[in-house]
Amino acid sequence: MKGYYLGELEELVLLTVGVLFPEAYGISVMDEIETQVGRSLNISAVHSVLTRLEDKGFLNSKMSDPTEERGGRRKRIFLLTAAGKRALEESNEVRNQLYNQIPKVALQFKLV
Amino acid sequence: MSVKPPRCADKFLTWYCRADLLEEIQGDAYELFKRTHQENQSKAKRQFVWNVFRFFRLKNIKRSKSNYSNNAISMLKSYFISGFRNISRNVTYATINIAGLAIAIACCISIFLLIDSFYNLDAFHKNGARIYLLMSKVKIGDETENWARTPYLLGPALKDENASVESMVRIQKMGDLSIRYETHVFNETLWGVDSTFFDVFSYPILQGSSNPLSNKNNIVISSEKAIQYFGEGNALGKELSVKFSDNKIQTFIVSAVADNMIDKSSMRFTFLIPISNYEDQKGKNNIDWAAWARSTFVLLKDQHHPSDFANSLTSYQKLQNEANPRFELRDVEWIPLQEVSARSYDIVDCLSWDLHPVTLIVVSIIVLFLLLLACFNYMNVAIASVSLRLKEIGIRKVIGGSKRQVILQYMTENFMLCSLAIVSGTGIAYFFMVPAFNSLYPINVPFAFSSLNTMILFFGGTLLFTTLLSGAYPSFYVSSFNSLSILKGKEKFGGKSLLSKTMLGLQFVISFTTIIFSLLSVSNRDYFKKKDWGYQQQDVAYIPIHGKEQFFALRDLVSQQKNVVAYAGSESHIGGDDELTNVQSPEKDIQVNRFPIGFNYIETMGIHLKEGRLFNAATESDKQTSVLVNEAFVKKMGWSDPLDRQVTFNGGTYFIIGVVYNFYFKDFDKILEPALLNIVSEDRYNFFVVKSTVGTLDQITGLIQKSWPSIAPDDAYLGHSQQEVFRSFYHDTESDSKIMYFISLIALALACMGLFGLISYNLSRRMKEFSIRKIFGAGIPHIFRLMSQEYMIIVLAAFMIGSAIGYYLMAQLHEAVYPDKMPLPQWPLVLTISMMVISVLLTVASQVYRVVKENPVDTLRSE
Repeated sequence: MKGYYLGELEELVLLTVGVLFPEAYGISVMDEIETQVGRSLNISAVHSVLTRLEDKGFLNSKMSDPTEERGGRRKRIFLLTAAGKRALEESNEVRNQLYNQIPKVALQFKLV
Repeated sequence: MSVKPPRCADKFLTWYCRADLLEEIQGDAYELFKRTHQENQSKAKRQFVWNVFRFFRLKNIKRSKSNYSNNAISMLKSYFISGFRNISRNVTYATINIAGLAIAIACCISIFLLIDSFYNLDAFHKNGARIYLLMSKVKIGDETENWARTPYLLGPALKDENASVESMVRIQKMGDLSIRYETHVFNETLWGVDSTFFDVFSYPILQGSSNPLSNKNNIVISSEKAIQYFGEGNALGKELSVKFSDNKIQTFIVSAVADNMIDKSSMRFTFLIPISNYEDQKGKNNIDWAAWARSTFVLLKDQHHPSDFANSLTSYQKLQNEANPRFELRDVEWIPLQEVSARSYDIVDCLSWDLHPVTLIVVSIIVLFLLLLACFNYMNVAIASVSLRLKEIGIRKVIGGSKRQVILQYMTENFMLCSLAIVSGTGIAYFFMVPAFNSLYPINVPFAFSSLNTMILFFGGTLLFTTLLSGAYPSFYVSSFNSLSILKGKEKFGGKSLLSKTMLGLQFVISFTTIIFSLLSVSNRDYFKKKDWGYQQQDVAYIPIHGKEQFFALRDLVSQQKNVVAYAGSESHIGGDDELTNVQSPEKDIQVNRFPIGFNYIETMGIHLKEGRLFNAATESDKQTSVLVNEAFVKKMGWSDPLDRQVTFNGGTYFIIGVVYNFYFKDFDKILEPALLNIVSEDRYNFFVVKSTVGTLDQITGLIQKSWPSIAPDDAYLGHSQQEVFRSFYHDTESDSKIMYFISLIALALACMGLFGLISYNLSRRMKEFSIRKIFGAGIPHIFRLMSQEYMIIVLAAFMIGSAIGYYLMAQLHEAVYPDKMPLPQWPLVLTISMMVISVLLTVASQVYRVVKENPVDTLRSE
């Protein structure tokens, strides 16, 4: 568990990178989070999360082909690594595990 | 379509962003910009700028290229250690370097302190910012002079009629008067001042009331005079009797003892009495707009400026011009108190002591040159010493030291040396130079800076200046070596390169210029010393007297002495005082220094007659209508036959009966002005002059001094030999020439030190070569020639250039400052070059001695 700790935003970004495979880069991640989650982020925030995840080894990256709208610059495409996959699985597992342990009664909002 | 985001922001991004992140970040920013741009142009721009700022994060910012950032402190520590080891390995050279720099820095400190204290004189007055000196612009002939004198009535008129003037004080010189306390008589300068003196100025009162000049017979004395007169005890209430110039004796009571702030004030007062005494002396009726006060200071109210009363000055000016057409007041100006001392050289009769800015500039330039010289010395020795450290630099570079680090290392060593030099320089200045300086000049330069900021700025500036100047070139030079060729032993040390030869030459040019220039100014002083005064100043004494009774008494006394050659009385005296008189002839009006004298004065003083005749006591007309003039007078009038011409002055008509050769009655560096001598009666005599046979003057003056209390019980004896007339001038020039001697000595010492350091370094590098030569049979003269040749050529070339510059500068200075042409002697050249040649030869000789003494095998065996 320790070492795979993911912050909430980190987890969100990591998931989005997985969703967008193989077209995940700064702006697409930002856009996807906005449409799917409704959270509008600044591009620099997305960048810092992405590099942090790369430093932790959950992501790796490669440069794409240059595109015209970027003034002939390449994109940095992010991909999930095995460690990233495991981190996602684990956090998912932990959540499910915890969710399943909630007593049924606690979720029944009926008048007793 | 090419839409570009804002350029500034884009550039900023490129500038700060890490190279490996730039493409991605800039790409994203561009893409977002393009996208928004299709909807809204200005929003896109705003967004782009905003994004650029948001990307400005620590992790995106470029790192400095060095990987040693966390290592810097320990690296610096290592530089200090290696620097220290280097210094201790070459103690001799380090000492030479540090000593040279320290001496130069000590000079800098002393001169800076002088300038600093000079420009901060009078800063202690609490109201200083509101005090102004009034200055008259007076028409003299065709020119306008600045006078510290202002109309006597101007001050009170300004105060009464202008609301902006809070207070004013006039200062009037009462004269150099005899003051008697019990049986002791001293001659002192008394100043009459308004009772507001201590309100305007902030001289602290040590004893007595805060308003000590309220009573007419009050006198305020300075603390050191109080000690001189009354000892350490209480001075208040003591009685002093003063004999005024009209021989009236008046008693004053000490009402206060004040500190005259000798280090901090540009004006120096020892005795102050109320100015009403001056009005009594002069007679109340005689005081009108024609009378002058020696100085008038006004104290303005807060938030006021003298321009507030500028308009009213015109009306006073008119009053003055009507009352005193002889000295026409053109204008009245004002000078803030803080600026008075700096401008006093330009103001006639200013109370502040003056230091001509030219002196300051010349001295500062010379001192800067000394500092430059010391830095050059350092630089040259440092470059020379590199030869011994080439391997070290090579290794440093090979194991990964960057060029920057080598520079840093050398700079650190440099910094250490310069700091040591500054510390020891401060010590030298504190213990030797500033005390020596104070003993030579009338002011007392305290060893203190005017403010903490000045001190920090000065020391910081000096440290930075010397470190950079002396260290920049060597460290860049050293760091540029190619490490491979150093280690292979291919790198030739650059002692033979043109650049380092030029540097060496430049150093010597500077030192020769300094030495020659200062020696020449010493020779100027000598020239004045030997200068013909135009009369016989030896064996003549003069004694200031009051009234004809004293004259007759002295005459009776000396006329019986067999050693007395001649004696005379006079109203004015050469070198004492004279009267500026406007003399008219049919052709011209000129300003003349007039000497009203008694019969026999010219003979006693030994003034030489050029044509015509001298005064004859038997001729009645000589008492009334005859005058003698000097050559300058004739020249100014433009006459070719001056005899029997008619001139008028002070309402009388006179005939010129003779012309005398020019004689000096003012300082020698001033132009010889026209002079006129006429006869006055005995009751106006102020001086008694006596000429003795050779070598007996002391006996005569001793006799006079012994009987003086019976001749003049209320007067101090102020007799002097005529040779002392210009003593203040000679004292000043003496001090100047001592300083110049000192400076040239230092320059010479610095040059010799530099030469020694350099030559011995270079020669020790070539020891192997000389040893081999010796083995092959080279004789001592041959080795000697080889060793010294190179330096001799540089020294001689530099000598020629440097001495030419020195002579040229001095000639320019002469032209600008001194009226008559002065000789530029040759002896400084001989002295300088022989000193330098001797020091080269001695240095070389000591090295040759090493070669001769040592077994060549010892030098050659080790690698």
